[in-house]
Amino acid sequence: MLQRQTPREENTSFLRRIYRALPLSERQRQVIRRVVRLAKIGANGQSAWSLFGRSGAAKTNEAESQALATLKQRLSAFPLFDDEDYLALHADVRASGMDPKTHFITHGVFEQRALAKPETIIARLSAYSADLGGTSFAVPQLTEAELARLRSQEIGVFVHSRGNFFMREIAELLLADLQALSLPATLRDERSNPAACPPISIFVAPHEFFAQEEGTAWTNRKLVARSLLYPTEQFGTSWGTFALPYLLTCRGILESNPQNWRVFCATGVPSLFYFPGFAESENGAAEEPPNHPLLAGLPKAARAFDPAAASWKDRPLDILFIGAESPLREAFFAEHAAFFAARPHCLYYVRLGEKPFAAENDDDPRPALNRYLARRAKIILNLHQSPVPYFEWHRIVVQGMWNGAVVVSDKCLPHPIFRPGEHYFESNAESIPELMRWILDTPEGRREAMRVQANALAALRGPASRPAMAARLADFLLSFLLGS
Amino acid sequence: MPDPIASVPIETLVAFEEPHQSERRPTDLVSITVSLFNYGRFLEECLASVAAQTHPDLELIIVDDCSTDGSEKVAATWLAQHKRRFARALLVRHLQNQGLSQARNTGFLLANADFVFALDADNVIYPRAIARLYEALAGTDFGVAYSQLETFDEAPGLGYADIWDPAHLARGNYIDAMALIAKWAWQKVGGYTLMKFGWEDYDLWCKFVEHGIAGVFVPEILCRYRIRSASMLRQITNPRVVDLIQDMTARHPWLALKPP
Repeated sequence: MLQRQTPREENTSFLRRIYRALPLSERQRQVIRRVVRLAKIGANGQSAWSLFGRSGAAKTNEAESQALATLKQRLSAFPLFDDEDYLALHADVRASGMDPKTHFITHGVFEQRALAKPETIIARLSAYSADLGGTSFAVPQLTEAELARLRSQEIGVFVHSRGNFFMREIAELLLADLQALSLPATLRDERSNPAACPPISIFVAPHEFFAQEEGTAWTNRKLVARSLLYPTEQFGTSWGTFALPYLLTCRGILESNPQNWRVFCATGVPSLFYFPGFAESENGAAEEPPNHPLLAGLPKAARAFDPAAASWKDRPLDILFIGAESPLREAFFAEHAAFFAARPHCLYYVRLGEKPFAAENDDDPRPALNRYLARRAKIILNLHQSPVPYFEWHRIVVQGMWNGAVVVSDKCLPHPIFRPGEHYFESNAESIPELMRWILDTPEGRREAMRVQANALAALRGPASRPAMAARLADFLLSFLLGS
Repeated sequence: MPDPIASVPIETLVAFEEPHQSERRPTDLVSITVSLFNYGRFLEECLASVAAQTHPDLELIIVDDCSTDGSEKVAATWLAQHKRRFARALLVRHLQNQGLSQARNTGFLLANADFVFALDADNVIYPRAIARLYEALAGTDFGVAYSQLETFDEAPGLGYADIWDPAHLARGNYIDAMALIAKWAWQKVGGYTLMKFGWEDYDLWCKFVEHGIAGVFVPEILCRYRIRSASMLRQITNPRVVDLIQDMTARHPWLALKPP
């Protein structure tokens, strides 16, 4: 007998740990509760799958079977789903005799069941790191005619209005890349009319966008099939799981994680390895101190510091870490507390289940706060939240490198542009304090830090620059127009 | 005018004042009050961490809440050796056991400085703690400065400190007693409420909120909170948590506490 599970009854400790470790705001928790309610609809005889199966037209059993078959086929080609692991992790599925892929598609997605064991996911992702060096970062040269063709099509960048502020920041950066080429792109949210989607629609953070309940107007196969998706979540987390049916059936994917990008390519979904590009003018801009209470607790030297007028060695904070709680992170800070306590640092360790500082208006000060702090820090520390060691682009590149901070990280899956020892520093977690001490306190370490900082800036101005990323993005978008 | 905060009979076991202290009157003097009840075995580690502070001008007030195991002698012995570190050092003993709230109030009443750090004898502070908290508090309107904590002994981890937010406080306490408190703020709210079963720090923060007094969070690990299964809070308060919730909500109706 299949047991309907809500995430709270989840019997895999891994998923519970990951779920607890998610940086969820109160609003996202509301979304999760809605999703759970969706899953419970099945208990009344209506399949949760049918919500995704709806095409807006009269639903037939044949159409639904066809959709199910397509998704199963895609899932078979998806390397991070493992039938045997799934049965091992979910005893009720094994007991029921149901095919694991069918269960996942019709129930498991909504119940946020794990795709595979964490060690399986890590091993498979590592296998997709082997030949990243072959990734081309040539900047495509689009002809004027091609650009004109693109410019004649409206582009919509969608992000959920009540989602995590990081997603909005990513959407705005994506928009800036499109606008850098004078492409007619606008930022939209779930309040737009689904029937009036522009010819090119890109949904940032689909796990948030499609998790909503209202009207299920957005969660239909036809819309997803002609849309581009820009996922932001990692596999091995609940949110990564939730977005999977959409990712496997969409028109194309913008993926900022190199291993996930290779995985999607292998699965047969057109994918671009893309992350928003660096623009010097934006990041060197003089800033107003953000209106955030955390500033009052900073050392006076940090509040008086002018990053534009000073050098890295004068930055008042030795180390900065901003991140959500997780068992791995907590163990690290507990073990090395004395090291941090002895130095000027800023540790903003966000506990889940709390209401984050609620901004008075829509302008969330936290991206501005992160930039403000990062420009006053010598080192930005990156620690993985989950056992899957993704290269955390947002913290390492946007927060760290874009703000001239030197990044020290625990070991990441390889990245084709940013390499350890060259663009950032990396070591196993136990050795991180010693590495930071070497960078901060020794002449050799400081020299190396400056070399790494210069290399990072060169990469940001080169393959990771706005013109480069925008051109590659435009080339990718053009391929959909040409194909249509 | 706020009511005077009750004082109780004490005997002074050690009193030290740096020569010429009254003439010098350091302007950035900070008082540290250590509440002691039978934690003699942890006390030396606690006091050593106070002596090791980078902030130079300190006065130390140890309040022994009538320990029954000779812990006050540990305090006296330590002070005999280390009192010169301090502008002023006091060891006083309640003639009768009064509870933690009163022990803290006694320390505050005796403190000469404008800022008082409340430290329990089984906890420890890192060397930069007082200097950083003082920097965040002095010359501002804030009533308290507090940092992130490291938990240690039986349960290593991090604390739950975060920015001062009454809405967050309404759902539960996340700010430990180990904090630098402006004496005017302590005075204004009538000091720590005498509460037998714990949560006196939570109650103080709630009173701050009601008086429009805000706190400042210093986002650094600066203090160490000892977790042992036999600690007071776990011994006494767990069975009483429902009573505590009812009591707190009666005194602070804006709280939104849920029973466990």
